[in-house]
Amino acid sequence: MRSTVVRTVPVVLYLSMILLPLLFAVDRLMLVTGSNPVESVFQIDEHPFGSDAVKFTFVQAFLSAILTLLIGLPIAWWLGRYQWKHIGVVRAALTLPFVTPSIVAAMGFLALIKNGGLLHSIGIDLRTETGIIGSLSSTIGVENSGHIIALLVAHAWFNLALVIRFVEPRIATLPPRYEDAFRMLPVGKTPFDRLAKFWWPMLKIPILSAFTFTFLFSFTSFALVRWLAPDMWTLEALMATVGGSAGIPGYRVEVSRFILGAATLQAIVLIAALGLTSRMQQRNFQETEIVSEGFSRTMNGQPGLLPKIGVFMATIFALAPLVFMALSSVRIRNRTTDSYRWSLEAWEYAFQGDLSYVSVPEALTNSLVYATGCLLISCTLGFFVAHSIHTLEKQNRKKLAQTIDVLSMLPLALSGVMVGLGVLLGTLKIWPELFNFYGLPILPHAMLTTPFVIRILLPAMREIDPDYEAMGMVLGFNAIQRFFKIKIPLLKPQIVVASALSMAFSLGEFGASWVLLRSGAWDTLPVLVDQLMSRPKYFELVTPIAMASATVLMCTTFLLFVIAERFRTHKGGGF
Amino acid sequence: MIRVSLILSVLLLAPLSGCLDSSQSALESVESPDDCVVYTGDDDNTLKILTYDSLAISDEVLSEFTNQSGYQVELIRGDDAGSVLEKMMLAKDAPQADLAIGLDNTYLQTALNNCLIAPHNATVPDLNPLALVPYAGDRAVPFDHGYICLNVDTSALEENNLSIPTSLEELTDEAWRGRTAFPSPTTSSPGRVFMTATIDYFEQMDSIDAMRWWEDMADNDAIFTTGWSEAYEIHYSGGYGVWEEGHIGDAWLTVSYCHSPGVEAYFGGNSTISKSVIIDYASFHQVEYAAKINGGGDAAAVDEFIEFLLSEEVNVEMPFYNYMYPVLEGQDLPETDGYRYHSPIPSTPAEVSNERIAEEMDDWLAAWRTATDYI
Repeated sequence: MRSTVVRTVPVVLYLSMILLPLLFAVDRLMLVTGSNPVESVFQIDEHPFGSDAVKFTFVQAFLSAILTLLIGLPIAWWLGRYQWKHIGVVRAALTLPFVTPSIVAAMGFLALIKNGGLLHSIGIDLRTETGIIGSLSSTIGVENSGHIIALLVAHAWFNLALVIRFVEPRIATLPPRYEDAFRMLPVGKTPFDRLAKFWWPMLKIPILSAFTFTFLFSFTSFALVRWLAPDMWTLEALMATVGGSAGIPGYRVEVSRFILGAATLQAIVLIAALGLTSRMQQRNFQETEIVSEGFSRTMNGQPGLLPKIGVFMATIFALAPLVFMALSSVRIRNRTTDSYRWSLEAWEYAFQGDLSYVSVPEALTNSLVYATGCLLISCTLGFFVAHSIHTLEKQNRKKLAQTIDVLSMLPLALSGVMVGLGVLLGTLKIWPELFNFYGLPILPHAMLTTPFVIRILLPAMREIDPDYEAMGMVLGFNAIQRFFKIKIPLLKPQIVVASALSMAFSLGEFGASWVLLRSGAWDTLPVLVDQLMSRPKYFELVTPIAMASATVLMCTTFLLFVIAERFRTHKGGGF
Repeated sequence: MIRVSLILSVLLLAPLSGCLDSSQSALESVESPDDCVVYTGDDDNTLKILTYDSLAISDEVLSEFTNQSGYQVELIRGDDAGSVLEKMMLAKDAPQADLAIGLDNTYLQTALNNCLIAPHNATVPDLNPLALVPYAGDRAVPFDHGYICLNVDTSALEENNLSIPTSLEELTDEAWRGRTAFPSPTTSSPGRVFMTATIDYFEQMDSIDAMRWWEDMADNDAIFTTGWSEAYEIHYSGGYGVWEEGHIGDAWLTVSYCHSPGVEAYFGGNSTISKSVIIDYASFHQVEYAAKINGGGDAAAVDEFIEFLLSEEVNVEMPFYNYMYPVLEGQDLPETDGYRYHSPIPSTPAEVSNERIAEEMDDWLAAWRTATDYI
């Protein structure tokens, strides 16, 4: 009975945490519009950009996912097959884009593609679309093709880590004897045969998972669309732009109707995608045995020249926008001449907190406090929800396990606007005083990061040999002792990775907080960056100060990932 | 057990969501703000100010207020002036701030009509009479002001043998195709103010309807953006945007303040290629207000802060912090580095009453969206 309660309470708590805000938001929007969510989906085209946004959202998300796989798969293959020096640092570098706040990513890419930037100087003008890109636009007849290319590449950059994190562990932990045995068969003689008949069946699940998640994140992209493709609209970008007017009875009802319809459509698509992924992953864990990645890599030895060049280029690709962004913090335009100077003035301003905003140390302190709170809640809840799902699977109650699994991923299917609006409305109705509570931002952060904790811990729990549990019982350990002496030590690497990831996501979270009313004393680093970027920039230090703040955020995140990589072991895929 | 819990969760949560909003009433307009019921919130010795993202009052200034008054200050930032109004509407039943800073005269009447703001008791010094033209009551106090008008890149015009336009109609000429950038009135305060000016302009000209002009501008490939920043920084070729990441610079004309070239000159060593276009009725006097939020607390702190904001030491700094004119009688923009010189004041700005704006704005915005096919 007690173990049932331990399993049930976190599930109910977590589902309440994610469902209540959603219900509040949907209920308010239904009240304002007089429409139900399904009706509203069919009214999306009443918005001037509604139909175009739906089409562009699907097309760019699909193309982004394809491009990400094209870039990411060779890298994952090389990383998984060979022995690399400093692989933890390389992995952290390749993962950094994924946890970079999107506004920072956008600034990094703009620094690369701007007039006079690296790409522009080699004749690739993605911004004003002259030269080759202009010709391409004319030839294919697609308006703003330079902007679209920039967006797709940025999405590939952002999601590269997903492909590597899903696919590389599977390659690295597959027993080499499988491949050796397959080579002996007539059907496995040529590389193409092995690719089609051995590797594809082995890797299709992580590849499709990576595709799905990349599609999902590109589908809900906002800041990158806003900055890199300013004349194009995705559903999320439209919702974020007009969302401030939503949910107010008697005021701009058409906006509430659009938000309700777009959020519903988005949720339908994303829930379907997540359900598919969950189903695939459940099937996957039963299929293959694994070995330690060190063993597998030793069999294949050191990488050759091509893998070295490939991984080097990928690392450059991952870091270039961030390096250019960091450089922008010390490259200051001169007020009166057509030139730049190198200076640390922006860093001084950033650390002093001038321009009426909080200082970087204050914002960093807020960010770290929220990240720690988020870690505690999301890791605790995530652990027990994953544990409950795993227990249900072991009890062969797979449908219920899958239902909870899909529901647990619901926050990934919600737009930041919906999460923010839901928390805002929920707090206003249930407990308005909560707005004066410094810890309020932890709630949306935990809502958004717990699904990742579950996704990391659940596959690891599935891999634990049940014999350990039986052995503990033989030794006379009670349930609590088995939990602390067997389960926690076995899951320690995944718990550390989940902790680092949830802290990193919290550090970079921006979307939901953006919708919430926020107190200046609570400003986090991403909010500070956005506030600075929203200011008129007559004063030449405004952008460099924003870039300095973003660089601090980036370095903090990078540090967390290097720490996580020291604990990370590969056990059968997942993030 | 878990299945039962799931069902229980749904059963518990579903009716909860249904009843929670049943108390939420639609925004109710009153004939006169005097008809509004004034509520008072709790005092907690912390003055919470709802404002827009770009309001720049330095930490030193806020600390000085705290030292003088004993009240702590918290800034709660929305996006822009429209966002301030929307957040007040959204939290009408449980106001989260005591003072709103940044509502302008195109939003003020809506706030008044919906009983979102309450009378203050601050002692107001002598203000520039122009700042009191749109509203002079006791529910909002001007703290800065300026004129919205078109800005052009004189350098681009010279290169393309174009002269500074003398009428809005000129902008529909082929020479201006794709070379103008306008922030949307739906999502941008300057955009909303300029659209209001065009309503009066075309009524005064007695020519075409304003929305017909907007339609013609859309047909002439005018660039529409969601915010002032996108229009000015990304598209306008004559401003500081040329130095910023992501600049495109395809527009030679945009909407900004008449004193924006003055700010450019101030930060550019008395040098700017940007110039304001002064056309009768095609500019608009924008006044920004501080207003006590109805239902907010700390009334004494609100009054003290309004007085502080209008004190000479704080208000004369508006051109430097907030890039706007001070409102105190006799105060102007500074002469330093061409700030004042490059900031012409329109002699004949558009005149549209606050009441008319509040009454017709929704219709104008809907017509504008239809005319331009933009949001």
